[in-house]
Order: sequence, then C-alpha cells, then structure tokens
Amino acid sequence: MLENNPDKATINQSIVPGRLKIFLGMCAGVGKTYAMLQDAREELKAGKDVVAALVETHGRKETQSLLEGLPQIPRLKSRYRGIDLEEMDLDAVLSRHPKLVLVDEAAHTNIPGSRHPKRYQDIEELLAAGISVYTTLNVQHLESRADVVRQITAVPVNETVPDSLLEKADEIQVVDLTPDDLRERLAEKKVYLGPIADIAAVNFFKAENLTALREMTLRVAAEHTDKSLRDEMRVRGINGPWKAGERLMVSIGTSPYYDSLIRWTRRVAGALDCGWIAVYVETDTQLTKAETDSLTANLSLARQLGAEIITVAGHNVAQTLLRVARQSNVSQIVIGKSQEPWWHAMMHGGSLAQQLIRQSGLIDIYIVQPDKSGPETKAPQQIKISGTPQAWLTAGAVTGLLTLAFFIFSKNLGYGAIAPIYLLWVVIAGLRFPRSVVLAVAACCALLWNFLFITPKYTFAIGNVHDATMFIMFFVVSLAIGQLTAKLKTKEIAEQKRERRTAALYELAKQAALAPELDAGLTAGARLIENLLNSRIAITLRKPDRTLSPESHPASSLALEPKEYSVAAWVFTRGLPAGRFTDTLTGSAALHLPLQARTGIYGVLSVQPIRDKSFDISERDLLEALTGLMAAILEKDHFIQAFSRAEVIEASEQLHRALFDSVPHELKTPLAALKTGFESLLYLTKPESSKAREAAEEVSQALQRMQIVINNLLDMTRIQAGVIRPKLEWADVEDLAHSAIELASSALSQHKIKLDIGADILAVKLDQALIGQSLYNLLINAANWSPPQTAITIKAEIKEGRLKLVVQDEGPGIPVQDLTRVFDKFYRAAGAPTGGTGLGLSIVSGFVRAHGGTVTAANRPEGGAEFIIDLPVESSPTGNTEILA
Amino acid sequence: MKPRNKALIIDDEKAIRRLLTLVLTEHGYQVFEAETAEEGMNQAAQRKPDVILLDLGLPDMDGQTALRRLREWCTVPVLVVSVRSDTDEKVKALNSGADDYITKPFDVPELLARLQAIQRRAGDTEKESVFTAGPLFIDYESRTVKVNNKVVNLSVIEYSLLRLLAQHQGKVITHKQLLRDVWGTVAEDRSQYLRVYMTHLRKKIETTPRKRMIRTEVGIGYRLVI
Repeated sequence: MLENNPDKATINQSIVPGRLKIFLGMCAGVGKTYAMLQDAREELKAGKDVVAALVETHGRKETQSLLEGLPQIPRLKSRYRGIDLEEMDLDAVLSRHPKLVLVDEAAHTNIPGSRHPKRYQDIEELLAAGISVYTTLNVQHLESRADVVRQITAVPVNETVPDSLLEKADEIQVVDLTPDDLRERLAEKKVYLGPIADIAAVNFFKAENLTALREMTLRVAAEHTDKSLRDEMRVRGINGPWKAGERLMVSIGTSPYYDSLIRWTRRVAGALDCGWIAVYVETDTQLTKAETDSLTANLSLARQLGAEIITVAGHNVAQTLLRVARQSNVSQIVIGKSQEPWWHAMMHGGSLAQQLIRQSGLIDIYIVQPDKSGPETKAPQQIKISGTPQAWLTAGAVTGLLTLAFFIFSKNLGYGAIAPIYLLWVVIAGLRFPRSVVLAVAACCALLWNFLFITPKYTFAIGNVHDATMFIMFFVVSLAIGQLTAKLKTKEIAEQKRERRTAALYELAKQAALAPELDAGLTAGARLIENLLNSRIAITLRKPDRTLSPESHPASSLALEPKEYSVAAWVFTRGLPAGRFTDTLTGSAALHLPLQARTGIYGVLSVQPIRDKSFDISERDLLEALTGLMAAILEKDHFIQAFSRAEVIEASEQLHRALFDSVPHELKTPLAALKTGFESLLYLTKPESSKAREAAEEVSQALQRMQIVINNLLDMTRIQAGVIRPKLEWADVEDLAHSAIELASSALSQHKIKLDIGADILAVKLDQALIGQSLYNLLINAANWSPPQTAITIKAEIKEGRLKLVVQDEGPGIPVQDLTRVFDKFYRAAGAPTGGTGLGLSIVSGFVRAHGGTVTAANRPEGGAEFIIDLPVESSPTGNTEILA
Repeated sequence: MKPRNKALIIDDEKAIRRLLTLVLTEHGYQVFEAETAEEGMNQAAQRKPDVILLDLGLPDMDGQTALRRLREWCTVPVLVVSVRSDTDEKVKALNSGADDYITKPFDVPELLARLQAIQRRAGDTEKESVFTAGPLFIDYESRTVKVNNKVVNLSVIEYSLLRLLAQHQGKVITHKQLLRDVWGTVAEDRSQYLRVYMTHLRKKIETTPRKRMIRTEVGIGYRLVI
C-alpha cells in the first residue's frame, strides 16, 4: 500500500527538526495570535532570529502593533478564480531559513495549486528543514474532535488538521478565556468571525457550546501533558503506569459511516497511548465507484489520524482480521455495529461480530455504533449490473430458443422433464456469464416454466400442492446454482488478479533484476509497468553526486515538464509520494513515487495513467511492490558498481606504488649521474675559454630544467592518482614563507621580497610540504612574470578559520581570458619564459585542493597579478607559550 | 697535513659510484666502493672509514634496515644519498642513525658541505669553548651569544637550542633530537614547543631575512647554515 510507509520519510533526514509550539484555543477570538506575537517578541528580544511568515491580525489594533517591529516575509500573492489571494511564501521562508518562524492558523486550506493542500503540511516541511515554528490552532479543527464538535455545535467543520500535528508539538500553550468574557468581546465586535458573520457562526458562540469547547481544549492539552510526562518517564527509565503492548485495530469497510468509527478508535488509542492499525479486508465482491471512493477516503482519514494501514485479501473477513491481529500483536479489535440484514448473517455462519467473538481468544472486541448523523455523502445505492450487452443478448436468445423448443415438444416431454433441462441451462450460463445475467436467467426460467408449462397454463397461478412444491424447489435451486457458479467465477477473477500481480513481480524480477545491464533491466521494468497499469512512466535517477539527474532515464515514455520535474525533485528530497492521487502537490498530472531502498533514495518513478482514471487499491498495491522492487534493483546495481570501483582503486593503488617507488628511481638516478658527472667534469677540466664556459652554463641550465620537469611530472602524477593525503601539523606561517623564499632564492635574486604576515597568526595546522611547495611554485611563477627589481609580496591573514596566503607581483598581470585557465595542466600563456613545464600552477591547484582549499588568480587594481590560496585551517592564536614557561 | 679521510660509498648504481669516487678523490678522500649492503658492512668493518655514503635502494637489503644494522656496532657518520624524497623516509633514516640526508640528483658542492658538516661532529666541536661563524659568536663557557658583535640575551631554552644547532653546524637536527636534548624524552612528540621557541630565537638572532642562519627542513627539523 502506498499509505503504509510511515518510516520512510525519516530515513534521509540528518537535519535536526525544528521545535513546534502550538497556541491552542477553544475558538476564534480568544487571543491566540496575540499570545503568539507576545512570545515571539520575547524571543526576538533575547536575540533569536524570528521572522513572521504569516500572521492574520484581522485588522485588530492591539495585534497589529505587536506585529510591528518583527521582521516579515512578504506573502505570495496569486489570483484564483478572479479573487486575489495571499498565501505564505514557503520557499522564501525555507531559503531565508530563520531560527523561528510564525505561521498563524495551522488549519488553513491553501489555494489550489500550492505545494501542499493544507498549511499544516507547510509547517511540517518547515520543521523538517530545521526551522522552529509557532502556530495557532482552534480545538474544533482537530481531526479527531471534528465529529464531536459537529455534534455539539451543529456546525460542520471543514478545515481540519491531523492529531499527529499536536503530537509533534514540543509545547502547547492553551490560550484560555471564559465563555462570558468571550461573548463580551463578541458583543464589542472585537472578534473576527470571517467575512460573513452568518447565523451559523453566531449559533456557534452559544454559551453551552463554548463551555463544551473549552472543556475539550483543556482536555486535549491535559492529554498532551500527560503523554509528554509519560514520555519523559520512559526516557528516564522510570516505571510508570502505561500499559505495555496495547494495540488497537479497526476494521474499515466501504461505507462512509466508518469515519466516526475511525475517529473513535483514534481517540481511544490516544487515551491508551498506544499504536493503532486500520485494516481493510479485500473480499471477492466487486466494488462500485462510490464504494471505492469512500474506501479511499476512509483509508486516507485513518492515515491522517496516524494509523498504520494494512490491506489484505481474504474470503472470510473475520478470519482474515484475526490473522492480521495476531500477526501485529493487536490487543483490541474495533468493528462497527452490523448493518447487514439478519439473513445475511445466517448465510455466513453468524454476523462478523459473532464470528470474531467466537474465535478471538485473548483479543478484546469492541462493537461501536457508527454515527450516521454526519453529512450524507453516500450516493444512492447503485444496482450492480454487470455483463456486456452481448452476454445479455446471448443469454436471452438461448433462453428464448429453449423455451420455444419446449413449447413445441411439450406434449412429448411433459412439464416435469423440462425443469431439469432449464436447470442445466442455468448451470451452463453460470459458467459463462456474470452474476447478474445468471440470476436473471434463473428467474426467467422459473417464471417461464411456471407460466407456460405448469397447469393452469398461461397464468402464474399453480393448481396443486405438488406443482407448487416443484416450482418453489426449482426456483430456489436455480437461484442457488446461479449464485454459486457466479461466486466461483468471481473467485476465479480475483485469483487471476492476484496471479497477474505475482506474475508481474516475477517478470520484473526476472527481466530487470537479472538483466546484465542496468539500462536494459530498467527498460524492461518500465515497459512492464506501463502495460500493467496502462500508463506512461518516467524514471529519474540519482546521479553519483547524490542529486537528482535533470534528465529522465532513456527508458521513460513520459516527458516530464519542468513543473512535473519539480514535483519529482521534491519527492526525491523528502522521500514521500507526491502528485496526483496523493495529498501533496495534487495539481500535478502524474503520481511521483520515491524509489526508496534500504540505503537511500535511488530516484523517482513518475506514473501518469493514459486514460484519465485513478488507480484502484490492487493497482496501487502493485505499483508499490513494483516501485520497491525497482529500487532494490537500483540498489543492487549501486553496490555492484561500488564494489568494482573498490577493485579499480585497489588496482590503481598497486600501480601507484609501482609508479612511485620505481619510476622516480629510474628517472632520477641517471639524472644524478649526469649532473654529478657534468659537475666533476667541469671541476676537473676548469674550462678557460669563455665559449666552453658558456656551453657549460647552458648544459647546467638544461639539467636544472630537466630536474624541475621530472619533479613536476611526478607531483602531477601523485595529484592525478588522488593519493595525496595532507599530513596536518602545527606550523609557523612566517617560517613556511621564509623556507619557500630560501628555496627559491636563486630565482628570486633579482626581486625585492616583502612579507606581510598578520600579527595574529602564530600557528596553523597544515601540511607544510604541500603548502610550502605551493608557495614556492607561486614565487617562481611571480619571478618569471615580473620584471627585475620589482617587488614580490607574500601576504597571510587568518579569518573565520580560513588562512589566506597571497602572492602578489608587479608584472603585467594576467590577460582576462586566461584567469581561469592558468591552473590548467600544460597551459602556458603567450610569452611564457622558456624552461617552464606549464605544470607549476596546476600543481599548486592540485595540492591546495587536496588540502580542502582553493586557489584563484586575479589582477590587482594597482597593477600586477595576485594568486590567492584559501585554506580551511585550525589555528592556535596563543601559540602554546604558556605551557612552556 | 691531516691524514687522508676515508670514505665508503655503498650504492648499487655503478655510474653514481664511479662519479662519486672521482669527485671525492679529487677532494682528498680515499674512497672504497660497495655494491650491496652486505659488502658495505664488510668494507665498513675492514676499512674503518671516516664517513659512509649510503643509498637506501639496495638490492639485498632495505636501506633503513642496513642503517640500523650498521649502527649496532659502528659510529661512523653516515650520509644517506637517495632518490626517495618524501619527508617520512628522511625522518625515519635520521632517527635510525643517519647523520644527514641528501636526495639525488644533488649538487656536488652541497654534497661536499654536508660531508664536512657530519664529519665535524666526529671531531671535537663539543670540547671547543667558542663558536664563530659569520655574524654569530657563541662563548660556551660564559654562555654569551653575540650577533654582529652585539650581545643577544637568550633564555635558557633558546640558548640550549642554539648551542645544539651550532655544535652540529650544517647538519640537520630532527625535531625529535632537539626535543629530547632540550626538554628530555617526555617532550619528544611536542613539536609545537619547538616551533614557538624557534620563532623567538630567530627573532633575536636573524639579521637578514633572505638568508637566515637557522634553516627549516620542512617536516624534518632545523639546520644551522652560515
């Protein structure tokens, strides 16, 4: 079932959710908003980042003045059916990300086309993003109290919030006012009653209503306090008065009356502080459209109220319920008082209640009278007529022909022999046609037999007792046969449906899971889902960087428009289904489901039915199973890839070891020989002629260059192999700069060097070899690019845990188009001095990046280029001097 | 004239061996060659060299092991000559008893300077009462330090650090060695002590920022070069 995934939303959340405080009142006008604003101002004064996202002042001056001075986020204005409406700008709040946000009236219904249909869902998203929320709520809007409120006040409650919101609240503040005070305020017109202060609203504020609502408010708050007390005791390991192992289960059917049953169960579960399950048993009977709708409504109500939803298939409701109850450790089962006629119960071996009580054992059974006073939403019971016109015609024709034949041969056959032949036909019809046709055939045959063949003929009257008995027998037997064969048939259809589901899962498992390549498997899976559900689908996968790919997988047959893609992206981040047939982002054309496996969300499956129909329970069930399987396939592939990546890494490490042990040796040894040889040659011969000295100078420079090239290449190889692991040690930045200058001293001999090290930098933790080498390379680069006698400056400063090392020169600067390319490998700017490898700066970039920092090039306004290394570092401004004294 | 210094070269590269022999002979050394670690040990025992040049990449034994085995019975100064340039390798060699470390390809004058520096320790620098080099003057008896003839006041620890570096002038002293000598073995892993005191010491004695007397060997230690 789609509904049955309460845990999935929390898997990917690493953010600490925000705190929720609800200002609860018995009805409008008690001063909830006022109290909320007062609290918010306190928080603001205490230095907290408070923002008002949506506060309704209803033009009250006192409230308005409290709101002034609070930072506000402008509302989102939109036009719906010619009316300008304003809603909270959810995205603006999320991107502003304050510590605390004020959102008035949690029960508000958003305008169609908003991300969530209800404002409380916006609040949930804010909480999930780690933002604390203050909100207001009237007790009548609480889902589990809505029917009681309606009974008390006779005013229907349209806007409701699930009780789970209250349970999520970290704090509930009751804003209380006596009914008399409220009525006084009402009389002074200090209370806003909505745009039309109609009679219903005035009725609502009758003293006895207010007293009842007030009591309810206080009770809700008391329950919450009680629960948090018990939670607290549990956390601290104090033994308390809670009952262990209580669990309620309510059996849900297709009647709209079940909503009161569901609310009843919720209240009892709340009072017992235990979990509850809502179960629907899918039997062989075909559901009408109205029944499917009210079943869906019942299930979603139960889910909203926090039930775990289970749907199971079974022929016998009582046995199936008990099986589920035992599997889920249920202690109490709640069922509605039977509305079936007495004979129905007789036929099935007792009513549901009787059967349950007989077999329940230790499980308690509650039988609750459903409340029928609610809004009558049930459509007039449709007479179920199944069967194609063709079936009706065939059945009619055969019956007619048979009767005609009997009529001709009735003298020879005798009316007694005709009856079994009619029965035979009813049996055959039962095997061929749907139930309605069979029952019609059975009735027709009985009546025709009576009318045409039993004396007195051509009347429905029957002459003697014998014939009457014969007729009644015939009538009952033919109906029974018709019923039984038809039942067999529906069972067979149900069986086929189940088999189709199993086959589909098997097929997907076989085709997709065993496919050698993921793409082929996904394509096979996609085609299968399309055929089974008569839909077009799109698969959007996760990229290696764990964000959602902007492109759909090629196996998709549905092109996602930007709007649909944004829904898919929401599903991907939240891990919850959204779009059509759900209650989030309902305006979208497709249903979007997260491909959620145990280790994460691997993408989103978007399904859009070709014909404009919704999915029935079994189809949604199937879709759920297929989605799960597909996610499992993606997860499997992810692990296979991770495994082979690990193998590649191991191989590359072996290669790298070989490379870094033997290649340097092979390159550097002959160079050492060459250098030593040349130097000793020079020393031994002591060339006198200037030409020989010139040549010697050239050779020696070439050797120097070769040494630099080899070192650079080896450094570059290390960077590319990704094996550089910075070794962090406490270092003195000034010393580091001096060491780099000393190393580069011959290249820098023509330049002035300035050091500008911030006095507050005493010690930082970094890899001295990597950063020292980077500074050295930058100095060499600066020396190469700036004219002699100009200054090269090294600056260092530390700010907010980041060390900035800047090397500035007074050369011509860097052409703008080259600013980003200077760090590319082997990139050499036009006019580069000979002898460079084009690797120096890219080595700087590689080393700095390995260190978690960045390096950028820029031109200074006063002329010359500068290179900025920006590193995250741990620093010790005190320099540990005190421990040494 | 002093008797000729004896140098032993242990390296498996024939070209390097021959060229080093050429250079060292020219600079007054009597040179012996060994191709393997085993042969090197034998030569060291028989010839009693004044200095050993050791390559770490030997065919029969890991260079670090060879170094440790040599140090079990022999105190001759050892200069490691290797292509391996990573800091860890250098620190390991120095802590296993090598006196200094130079990477291939090297500059010949640099090599000669290092050889001289490590041999000086074998001489009796510790018994000398006065140190003079460049602008630096140290009187070990009166604990006086002068730079450019101006007296510099050093704390006890700063003085101990400078004396240690001066007594091993030109030779790298690892962090561990400095810490052990100045603070004792308990402080061996507290290189931040050293860093702070070295900064103070430098502020007092360094005169030319482009050519500092105390050089930092990144990740290894310090060296006094004048």
